Amino acid sequence: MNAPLKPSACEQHEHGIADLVDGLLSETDAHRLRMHLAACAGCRAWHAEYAATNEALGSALPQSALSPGFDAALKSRVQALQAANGRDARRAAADSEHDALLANLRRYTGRNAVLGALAGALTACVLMFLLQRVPQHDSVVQSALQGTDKALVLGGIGAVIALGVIAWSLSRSAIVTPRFARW
Amino acid sequence: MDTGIEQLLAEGRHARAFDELVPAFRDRVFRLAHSILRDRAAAEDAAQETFVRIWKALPGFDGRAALGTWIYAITRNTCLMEIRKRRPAVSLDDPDADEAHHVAAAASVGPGADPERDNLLRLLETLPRNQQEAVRLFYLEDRSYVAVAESLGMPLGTVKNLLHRARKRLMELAQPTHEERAA
Repeated sequence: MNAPLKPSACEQHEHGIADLVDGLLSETDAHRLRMHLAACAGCRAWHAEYAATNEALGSALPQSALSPGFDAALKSRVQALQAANGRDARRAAADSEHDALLANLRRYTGRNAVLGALAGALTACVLMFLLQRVPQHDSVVQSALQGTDKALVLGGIGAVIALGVIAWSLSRSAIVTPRFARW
Repeated sequence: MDTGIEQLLAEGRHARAFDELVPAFRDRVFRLAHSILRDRAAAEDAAQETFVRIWKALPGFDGRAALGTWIYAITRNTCLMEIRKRRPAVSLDDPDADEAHHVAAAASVGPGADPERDNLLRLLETLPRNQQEAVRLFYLEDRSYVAVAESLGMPLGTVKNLLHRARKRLMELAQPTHEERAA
């Protein structure tokens, strides 16, 4: 535990000596410090020991380099990651496309249902309007419309039209069925 | 060097930036990993892992820190995680555990052809971890304070101080004791 003796008054030179060893001092400062070292045996010994430790460390510590296969191994790992990312990206794109398709189907189904209902109601109104103008000699229709079941008859006609519209929508696969939800 | 890479990153050309980044930084990353892990093979593995992490994180690099600072921070984190994996029950912040590690590491420096070199490496293992890393990196980095400061993410003055204290301590430890001298 005994470093070379260095006068306590020379403590101020400690960092200077370290910088001198590392070649960090300016020419002027290095010259000034060398003058001091020439005159101070304690600092001279400390400088010699410090420089020797520095050189010993430089020799003792391994100077290793990367193996030649480093770049190839890294490239391989990155390519594997890129491939995995590509698969993930394609899967994400397919999912996104499916979600968009599903949203469109839902939106158009709703719109078709509204349009179908409106069309059905309109058709029912037109039919009722026409039936009220049926000639008086058509006895069957006339009796049905003038009897107490007039509302029932007209409602039945409307229901038949509505069912027809729904059947037409289903036949065109316009309504989303549960099988889409499996994705 | 970094400017061209950062320009590529700013343009969103991450793959090209990565291709240029690897040869520019691989040796420094490896040397930093080697100074922390003290094992060549482990350092190479850590360097690989570091670059894989960089590849994944590159799109998120926002340029707030210098590219080198960012890369060396990832390297240090990768190495620290590697150390934690090796010693899962020991906290890196626990000074007692660190001391125990030093003793174990010192004992692990086996006999070689050069007893003085072995002794110096054994003594180096007894220094605090930050001093050891600074010393190892300093000699790996061809005695460049600037490179060490960049790699460790420390101010230049801190690195100089760490190195000076480490070399001074090694100098003291290497001196024969009174008893050894008398013998």
